[in-house]
Amino acid sequence: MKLVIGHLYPRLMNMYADRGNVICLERRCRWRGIDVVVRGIHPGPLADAGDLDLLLIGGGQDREQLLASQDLFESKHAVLRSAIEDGLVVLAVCGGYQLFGEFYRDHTGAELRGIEALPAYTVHPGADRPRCIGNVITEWRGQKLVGFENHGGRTYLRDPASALARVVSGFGNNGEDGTEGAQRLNVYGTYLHGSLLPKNPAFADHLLGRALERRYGVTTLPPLDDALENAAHQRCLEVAGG
Amino acid sequence: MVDTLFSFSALRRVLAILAARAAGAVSRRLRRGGGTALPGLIAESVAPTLLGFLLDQVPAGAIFITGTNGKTTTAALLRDILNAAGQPVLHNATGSNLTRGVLSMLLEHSAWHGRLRLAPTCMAVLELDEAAIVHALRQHRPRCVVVTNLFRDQLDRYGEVQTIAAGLRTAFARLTESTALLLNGDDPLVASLGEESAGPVHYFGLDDLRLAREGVELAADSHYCPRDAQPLDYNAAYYGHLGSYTCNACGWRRPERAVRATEVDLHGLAGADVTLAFPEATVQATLGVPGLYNVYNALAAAGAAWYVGVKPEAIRQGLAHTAPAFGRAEAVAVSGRTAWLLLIKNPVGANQVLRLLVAEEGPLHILAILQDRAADGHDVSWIWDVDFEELADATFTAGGRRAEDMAVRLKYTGAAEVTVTRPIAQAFDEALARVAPGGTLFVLATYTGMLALRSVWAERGLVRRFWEAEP
Ligand SMILES: [Zn+2]
Repeated sequence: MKLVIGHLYPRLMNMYADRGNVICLERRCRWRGIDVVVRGIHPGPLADAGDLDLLLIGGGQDREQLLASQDLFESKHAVLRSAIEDGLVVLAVCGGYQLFGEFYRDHTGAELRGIEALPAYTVHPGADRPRCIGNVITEWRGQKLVGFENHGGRTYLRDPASALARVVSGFGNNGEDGTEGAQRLNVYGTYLHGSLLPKNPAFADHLLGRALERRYGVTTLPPLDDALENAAHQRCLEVAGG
Repeated sequence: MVDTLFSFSALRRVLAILAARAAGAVSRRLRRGGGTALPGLIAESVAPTLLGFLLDQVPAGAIFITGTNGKTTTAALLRDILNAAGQPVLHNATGSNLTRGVLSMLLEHSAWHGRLRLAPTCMAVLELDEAAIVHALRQHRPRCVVVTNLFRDQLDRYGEVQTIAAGLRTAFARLTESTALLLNGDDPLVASLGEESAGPVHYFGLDDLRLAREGVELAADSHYCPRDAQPLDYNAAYYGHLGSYTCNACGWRRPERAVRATEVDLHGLAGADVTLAFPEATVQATLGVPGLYNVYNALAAAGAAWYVGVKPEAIRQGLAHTAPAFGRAEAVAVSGRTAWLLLIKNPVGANQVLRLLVAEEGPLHILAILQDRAADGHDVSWIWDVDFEELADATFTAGGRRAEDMAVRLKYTGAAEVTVTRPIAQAFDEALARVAPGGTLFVLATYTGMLALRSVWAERGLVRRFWEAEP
C-alpha cells in the first residue's frame, strides 16, 4: 500500500509548525509498512489531484495567506473541489482552515475568497480586538483533542452540526458558541496547531484510516506504541487545565 | 533638562529612584534573580520618562541593539571592542532587554536626584527587544541603532515578523539625522527598514560563497520582496532567509554593505576565523563565539564600532576577547565529563546551533530542555520547524515543563531512544550518566530552561550566578 500526501504551500503557509502534521503522518505510515510519498504543492497550475490521498495546509502570515488565497482560486479551485467531492482527506489548520471555508473578511472589510469546501466563514472583528491565543482542549468523538491556537479571525459555521469538536477550554472557532473546527465529507478544518497530530495520535490515525479506506477499502490500522504521544497529550491537558 | 529639582516631574523622578533602590535592596537580600528587573519596573511605573532622562546624560551617547537573534552576543562583542579601544561602556549585561532592565542598570549609576555618575567618555551599549526599542526610541535619540535580523520568534508573544518590522519602520521613520541605522543587509526585511530614515544608513553582511546552502531553509520567513511581495531570487542563501537576493520583478536587491565578512572559516564550537572588510582596511579576526550566526553578530558589533570611529585594527583586537554570553555556548567540566549549554529559542536560531553539533565528532548525547513560560513562549509548536532530523543518531534525553512534547518531536526524527525526565536537575544528572567518562553532553535549552540549569550549576559551584557572571 502507498499513500500520497500533498503538502499545500509548504513555504507560504508554514507559520505554526504544521510541518509536524506531515512528519507525523509520514512516520506513522512507515512504522506500519505503508509506503508514503510527500509532495509539496506550490503556487502555479495543478493539473490533477486524483492521485492525492491526503492534503495538508497550515497557517501563514497575512501577506502569505493573501498570495495563497489568490493562487488557490486561480490555479487549484476546480481540481481540488472535485477531489474533495471524491473523498480526498484534507486537514486544514488555522489560516488554511479559513481558506477552505467560504471567505475571510479582514479587519478593513476586504474579503479573501475561500474555496467553499467547508460551510464556514471567517470575520476579523477589528485590529483593536484581541487575538485568540492559548492552549485549547476540545472534545471530539468522546475523546479530547489538545493543541494551541493563535488567530485573529472568528469563524462561524452555517450549520452547528458541522463543527469538528466542542470547546472544553480555550476559544475555538469564535470564542462564543463553543464550537471548534469544521468537517464536511473528509475535509477537516481546525484552529489547533501545536503540532496537532503528533500529540493527538488517535486523530492522526483517524485521518490515515479515512485515506486508506477510500483508496484500498482498509478499515483497521495496526496499533503503534504511543506511550510518548499519549504522555504529551496528557501533559497538554494538564498545562491547558491550568 | 529644563525641570528643576523642585518641579513635579523632578519630584516624581526622585520618588521613582528611591522606590527602585529600596526594591533592589530587598530583592537582592532575598536573592531573587539578583534584582535585575524589579527596580526598573517600579521606577518606570512611577516616572514613565525616566529612561530618556537618564540616557540623555550618557556622555558619549547610546547604541541600541535589537533584532530577533544575537542581541546579547552582539552587545557583548561591541562592549569588548569598545573597551579594547579604551572606551568606557555601560552595558545591560544580564540579558534583561526590556526597558525596565535597562532602567535598573542605569539606576545603579544614578544619584538619588537622577544625575548619572559616569566616566566623562562613557558610552551606553544597550540590548532591547523588538517591542522595547520602539518604546525607548520615543524617549531618547541614540547615536546608532543596530538590527541583527528578524526571524520568526515566539508568535504568541511577539506576533508576526511583518508586524514587528512595521513597528520598527514607523519608529525609524521618526528618527532625525543624528541617529544612524546599522542594518543586516543580508536580511531582506531588515535591509528594507532603512528606507525612510533621515539619518545615515549602513549595512553589514557576508560574502563567502563557500558557505552558501542550497535554497532558503524551510524555517525561513521573509524571503519575499518587501516592495511587491514577489519571491526573492537568492544567488546565495546562508541561513534562514539571510543571503544575497534580488527581486526579479522590481529589481530591488541586497544593498551595498560597508562592513563585510569576505572569508569565514568555522571551527565548530571553538569559534571562527573571519576576514573583515571595512571601507578603509581589511583585517583577520579570530572569534571565540561559534557558528555562522555569531559571525553575523560579530559583523553587527564591528559595524557599530566602525561607525563610532573605532579603527579596524582595534576592532580585530576587541573581537578576540569575547567569550559567549552566558548560556549561549558555555561549557563546564563535571564528573569527568564536559557539559555544553546552548540556548535555543526559535527555529532559525536552533537550526544554527544544531549545525554546530552535527560538526562534532563521536556519538552525540543530547539533553533537550523545553519550557513554555512567558519568556520561552507558551506555544511550543516551533520545535517542529527545527531540523532535529540532522541529529537522529544521537542519544536523547528530554527535560523541562514540556519534556513530553520535545520527546515526541525527537521520536519522530526516527531516533532510536528518547528518555523523558521533566525535572531539570534530575534530567541533567541522568543525561550526564549516559555519557562515558571523558565524553560530552550537549544541553539545548529554551530561555527559562537555560536559567534553571545554570542555577543548578551555580548551586553546585560549577558557574557563577548570572548576575555575577559579568564584571
Ligand atoms: Zn520586488
